[in-house]
Amino acid sequence: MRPAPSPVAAGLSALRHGKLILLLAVTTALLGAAAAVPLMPTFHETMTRTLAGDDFLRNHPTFAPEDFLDLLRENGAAIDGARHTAGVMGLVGVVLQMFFAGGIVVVLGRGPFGFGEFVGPARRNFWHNLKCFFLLAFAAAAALSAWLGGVGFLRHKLVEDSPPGAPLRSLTGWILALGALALWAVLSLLYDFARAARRHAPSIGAWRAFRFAGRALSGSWGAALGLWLLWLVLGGAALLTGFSVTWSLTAVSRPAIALLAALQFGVLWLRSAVRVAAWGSYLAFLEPRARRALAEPEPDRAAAFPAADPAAPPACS
Amino acid sequence: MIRPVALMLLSAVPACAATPVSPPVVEYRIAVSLEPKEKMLEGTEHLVWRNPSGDAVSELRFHLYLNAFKNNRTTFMRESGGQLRGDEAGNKPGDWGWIDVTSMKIAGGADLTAAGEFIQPDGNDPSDQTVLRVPLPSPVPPHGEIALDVAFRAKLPKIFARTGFVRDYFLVGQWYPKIGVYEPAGMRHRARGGWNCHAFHANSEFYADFGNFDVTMTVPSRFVVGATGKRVAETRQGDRTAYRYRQDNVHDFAWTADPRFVVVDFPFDPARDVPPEVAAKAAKELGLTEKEIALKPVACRLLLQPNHGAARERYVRSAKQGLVFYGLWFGAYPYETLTVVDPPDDGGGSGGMEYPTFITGGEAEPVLTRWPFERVRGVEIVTIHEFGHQYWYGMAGSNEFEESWLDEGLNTDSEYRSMALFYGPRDMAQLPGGVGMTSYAFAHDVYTRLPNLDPIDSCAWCFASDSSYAANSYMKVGLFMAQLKNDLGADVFARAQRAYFQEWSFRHPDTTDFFDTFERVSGRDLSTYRKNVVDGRARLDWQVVSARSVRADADYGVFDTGGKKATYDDGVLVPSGGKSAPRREEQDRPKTYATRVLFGNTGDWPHGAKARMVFTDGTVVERTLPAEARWVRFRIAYGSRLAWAAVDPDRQNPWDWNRLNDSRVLDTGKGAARTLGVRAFVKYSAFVAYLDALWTQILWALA
Repeated sequence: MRPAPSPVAAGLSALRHGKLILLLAVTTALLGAAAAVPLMPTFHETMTRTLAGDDFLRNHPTFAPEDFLDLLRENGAAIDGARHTAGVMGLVGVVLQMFFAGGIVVVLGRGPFGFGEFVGPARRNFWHNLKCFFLLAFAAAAALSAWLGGVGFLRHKLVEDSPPGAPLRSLTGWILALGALALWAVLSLLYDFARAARRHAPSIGAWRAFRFAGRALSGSWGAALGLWLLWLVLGGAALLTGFSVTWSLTAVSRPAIALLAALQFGVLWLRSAVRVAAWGSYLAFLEPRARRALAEPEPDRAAAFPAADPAAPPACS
Repeated sequence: MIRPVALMLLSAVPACAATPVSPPVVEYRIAVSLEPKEKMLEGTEHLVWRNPSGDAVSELRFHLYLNAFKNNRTTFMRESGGQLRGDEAGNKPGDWGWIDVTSMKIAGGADLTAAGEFIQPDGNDPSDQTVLRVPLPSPVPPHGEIALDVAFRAKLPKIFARTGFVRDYFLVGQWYPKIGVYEPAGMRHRARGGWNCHAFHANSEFYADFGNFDVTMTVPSRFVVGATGKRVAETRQGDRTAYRYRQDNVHDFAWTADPRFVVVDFPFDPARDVPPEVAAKAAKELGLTEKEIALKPVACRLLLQPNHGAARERYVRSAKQGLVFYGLWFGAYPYETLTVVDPPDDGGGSGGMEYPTFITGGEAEPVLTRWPFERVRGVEIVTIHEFGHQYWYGMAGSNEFEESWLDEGLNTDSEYRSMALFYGPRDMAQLPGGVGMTSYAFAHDVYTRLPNLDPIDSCAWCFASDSSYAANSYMKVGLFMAQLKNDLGADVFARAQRAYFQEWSFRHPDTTDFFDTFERVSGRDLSTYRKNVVDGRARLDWQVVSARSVRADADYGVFDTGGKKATYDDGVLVPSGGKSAPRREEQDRPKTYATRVLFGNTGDWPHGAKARMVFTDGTVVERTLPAEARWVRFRIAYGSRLAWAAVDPDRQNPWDWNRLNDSRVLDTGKGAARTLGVRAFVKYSAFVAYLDALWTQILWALA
């Protein structure tokens, strides 16, 4: 019997699902492109038919910031429109990825899978994921408000008379910030694991899924938070590095533009790959803990959940 | 005690540079004690005021600036709404500030205390108590003098609008009964003599007469103290210490106390601190020898917050840069000392302020001085700007109530020039990845986003809003002066500005004095600048209205040739039979393109510009667009297509409203611009996609 791979190894192993990564990346790219479309007419005019635009597109060394600020001001309405569209597209992206997560938690780590095998559970789990999201939103709003409001107020009182730069100020500031981040990490992990509960209990409801997540994570919070931080930092670093590199590239010929586009897409692909890897490692982390979590009796319902049964109908539809 | 005394006429032009009036109009001898727990000042003031006019003056007027912070009914509070420059007034019971004159007597004579009354010279807010009028039992005779003994008690406000306390940091500015300016007839072009003593307005700074200050501050010994001028005595009295400072030929006195200050002394030594290339540049522009513009040593002191160590060298460097730039270009800093105060992070309301020989810095919070912001030059900008006030506010002594642009604006120009000199093309900020900002770009952006409701020259409280005050008093003047510099030439401009400072320092110039000096030195009529830009709201907006370049040699249509009809399409003979014709015969003519470019000034300031037209074969055609023209159309027949046309291609018109319409690209002359629409789309769709991805990355759990 082969020992189960470590969560990190399982995450890296999930990278072999190239199509899944491509699906996430293409979705992000399409949403981005769609949001940028309102900019096309005005950018075509001001970017391609003025020296200022030409300088800007070429990252010309003598490019004057005045031109850039004029460009922002003169195209303000279009940019505002695109910014708002980008916000909406971001929301659509979140909803779409909620949809994808429903499929990911079922198929990942179980060998090759077809499109239908992915979409079926994605569709079945969508409402579950949506409800889990609302639970998360409510819990996050309550917990973070309580933390930032309550502890923030106490901190304010505590450091009111201490000078800036005093150790007490920095210490309490770090406690406040790290506490908020830790709270968010905990809720985020509960949310991910509540969604992953559908891998083991396809009919589990959102509320019970959160309790399942709590039981699964019990005793392993340190390792789980480490995993969360690892993938968060890796994903963020990939995105920011790629952004910096590609944004500063100058492309003045068609092949160079094509290369730039490919690089930019590569950054989005990388970020999607990190997300899939994170799911792979979460699922591997959950695997040995799921049975225990499912076996523990619910206080409000003595009977344990039935064993995992992929054919069972969804609990909430 | 009133007796006549001879005064130098204020209207006389000094034969040489920067001559203070002697004897001074005012002399203050103040003793003040700080009670840090109660945030109170107890003080006495011996004031000698000399009547600079030929009028008999029957009343005195005093500024009691701290009363601006007394309650929400004051002119200052009504106008500011309790918010100024991003800072908010405290509203707890201990946060208010005020000043009472508890006693005022003519030295050895009548008690004037009961006779004083608050007045509102600017008309409104009857509860405002920032100006005190004191009728005199007998007038001060022409060129006579009066000595007063005043006692006062003041409560400092929680730091707001430049002054006050936070915890045990005190920045004590505008804190004592300060006599207004009696302007004789002719001074600042006024018809009749009279007091110029305005209420403290939210957008206004200050105006006062030059004099000598001798101030003793007594504070608990744990405090580190800094002040205007030179410390001449330090006397321990139990657990308190009295610090005595003196300074001549200044018009205000401020001081600070904080037990946490780290004292950094950094003497300015011209031999070591003036870069030779900078001195050479200044001498060349001014047409003077380096010896003639030589600077003097200054004892500089930085009072630094202990958590601002990263800003220490930046303060020191930029203060010296200020001494170098202003000293070389306008005249050597004449005082012996300069004190730079670094306010604490929670005392930002006292930052970025100028007092004679004493300035407050800012933007030195640790987060703003570390990566990636270590080259965002807030510390440098604030330090150089506030130092620069030593010249336009300090020595020129412009009336900031009525003509704020003569101080803030001229100083903004000087600051922009010195920042560009010392920090290059991204003077204001440089971020990783090559992103940066220049002072002029920032100013231009503010200028163009402004609703354009006010002229530059307006009284400080007459502007439509605080942002209009700021834009007109600071950034627009920076642009206007840059425009003037480009139009006059750097050398003429530098000489005119030096002449203005040299002739008018210690003499309270006004806008007319400014233009008179510049016109005289430059030999140019600058009335269009004053009328349109300083007194008016005119914009300049030259643009390429349209540009086209088409084949001119080619015939189109039906032509009678040798008794037959021939049809040409784009210069190509279309044989009878039209589309089905197998052969097309091109006309045998050299190619010629008819290029038409229409340049127009849609602004309302008649001002010239340069036009440049570049053809695809590299030929460049340049023309001057005359100031009086509303539009100019060029028709050029040439063998190449027009690649691009631009107005003001070398960016010589900072006043130009919109630079985006300054050019029109038709072809590939500047580097395949038209093919880059794809890149524009790629770049921006990727940008939005990045934002999308970044958002979901931040909201990690949602993805």
